[in-house]
Amino acid sequence: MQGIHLTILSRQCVLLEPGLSLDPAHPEQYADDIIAFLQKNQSKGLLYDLKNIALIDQTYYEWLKYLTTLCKLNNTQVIVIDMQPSAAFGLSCFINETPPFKTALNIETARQSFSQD
Amino acid sequence: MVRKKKMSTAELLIDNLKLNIGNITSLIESKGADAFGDDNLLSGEEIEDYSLEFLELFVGILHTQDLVSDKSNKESHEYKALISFFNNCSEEIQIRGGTMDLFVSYMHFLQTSLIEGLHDDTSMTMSQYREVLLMMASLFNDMTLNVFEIYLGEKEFTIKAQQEELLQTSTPITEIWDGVLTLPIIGSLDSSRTMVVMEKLLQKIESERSRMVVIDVTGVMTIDSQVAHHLIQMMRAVKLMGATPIITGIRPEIARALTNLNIDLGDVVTRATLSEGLKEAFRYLNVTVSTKD
Repeated sequence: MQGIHLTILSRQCVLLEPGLSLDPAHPEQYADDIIAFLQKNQSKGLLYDLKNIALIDQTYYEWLKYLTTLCKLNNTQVIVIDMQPSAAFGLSCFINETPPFKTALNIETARQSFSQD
Repeated sequence: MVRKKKMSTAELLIDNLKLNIGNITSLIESKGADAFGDDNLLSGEEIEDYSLEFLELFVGILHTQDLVSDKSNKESHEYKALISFFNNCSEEIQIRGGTMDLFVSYMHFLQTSLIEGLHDDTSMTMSQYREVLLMMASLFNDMTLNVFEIYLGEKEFTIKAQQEELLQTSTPITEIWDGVLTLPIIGSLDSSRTMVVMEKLLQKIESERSRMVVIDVTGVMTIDSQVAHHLIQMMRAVKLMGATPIITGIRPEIARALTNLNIDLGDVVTRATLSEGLKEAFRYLNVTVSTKD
């Protein structure tokens, strides 16, 4: 899948690592492949790794919201992990709502939070 | 008949200074001793050295001065040396507790002493006197302005450094337990302070991998919509990092103000005191603190 790398972490948990070629302005092109992958693995959790994203703008935030809504329809919970301080700072400045996705410090805490739910 | 070459005004002035050097030096020294000696800002030897150095540099600058066009060569080494002399001198006086007023009045006195030294000189015409007076006024004005510019720059630098230090010390973020950060906020939160606090807090969350952040607002006396907005922004950023914020110590008047401002802290965990907040953080982390029987 171009622009996205998916790794199965456990039976029900998948890690999504966005690549440099990911185009958040056109989220539709990734929808079918992601849902197909999640359904194939019966994944209940999708961990979205943001460690390489220094700044989140409105377009990227909309992409994250789109992905969350999409996954929710598949009964998969999205947990955004490893958000950088600069990205959190910038995002908190322009959003006026609680984001629909959950957040966690890293994979371990995300998996803990996932298993608690 | 051998015709004597007509001397320029600058040359006449140099001659005059050379003739009266003794009187001028002792006058400058005595004024220097009055101004700086009483408070022990400069020793007698230093005053003497400074007076001689000034006269030497002043004579040096006369060699590069075109008095008729009143154009001083500001790029010349002599001009720069005189500026540097005044800057060093003023810096020294201030380091030793002297005031800028004192130094500037001393500069004025130097100018007056030089002018008074011309009093008995009959070799100068009225127009030459005028040239000398204009040149001195222009030169000393430049020097005074320069000294003031340096002084204001230093002051500004000091104020900025103090402000920065105050900001750093007013936001002590401490890891009070593994994964638990505490941030006591004292005073008010304006935009610039929020930025600094948030930046430090988010970096600390990342470096310490902290899961809980207890923000104590006991020291916040008043709150308006802007401060509340900044607080909510901070909570949101902490949550985005994957940590859980807990606000503690909301005073009754702050609680009332938040309600009046229609600010909803519904999705933020709040506790009455810092200790309650810490207990809540421990509960989240499944940490039990008990007394030893």
